[in-house]
Amino acid sequence: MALEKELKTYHRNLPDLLDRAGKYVVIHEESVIGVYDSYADALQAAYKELGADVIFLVREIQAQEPQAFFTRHIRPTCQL
Amino acid sequence: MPTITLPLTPDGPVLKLGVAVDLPLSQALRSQNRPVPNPVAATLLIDTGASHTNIDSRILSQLPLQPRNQVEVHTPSTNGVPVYCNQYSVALIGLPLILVPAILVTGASFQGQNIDGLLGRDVLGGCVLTYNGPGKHFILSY
Repeated sequence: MALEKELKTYHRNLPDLLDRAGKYVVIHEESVIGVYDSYADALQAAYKELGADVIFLVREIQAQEPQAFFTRHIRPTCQL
Repeated sequence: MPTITLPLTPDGPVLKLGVAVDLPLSQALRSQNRPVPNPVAATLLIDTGASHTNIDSRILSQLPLQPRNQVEVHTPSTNGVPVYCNQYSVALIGLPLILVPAILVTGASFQGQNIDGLLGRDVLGGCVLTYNGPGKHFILSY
């Protein structure tokens, strides 16, 4: 599954990242590339550091897993 | 804030937008003299019942997108047990200005619903929305 390594790395590092909750972390495989103030800053840094074609995780640092809620009946397509 | 006024359609308050690769990616591609994919046209329903923006996977699959995050998705049919879905980073463009330069969206099938996605509260959180039912229009400032 895509991002499997990155998500494991995120959860392994989460206790240390939580003092920067609300900021955005970029992770590639087992490496934490950096923590940034905004989502756009995180993307810019990631494309510069890793290139445009590499899989990496960008996630807002938070204690809970991110959740999305939809009241409309939709059929999620979880992978393209 | 730019403001647009649009008629309410039988499908509700909908926006015709372009879905594109996020702005930082298009800038990175340009700096490498690589082609930037054209935006894909999409009709999105403004939905305050959607916490996040969600776009038909037929639209998303036309762009060279990599998964950038994963989120637990709850719908009326998931009965409290979330499904884990990838999120993809896109830009939403086509109003007088870029609406959102970079946002994480999930994919879904909207087949038969006459729309290509939902514009959720992640975008609306930065907007002022006036829904004028009697006047049969809505106003969006962003």
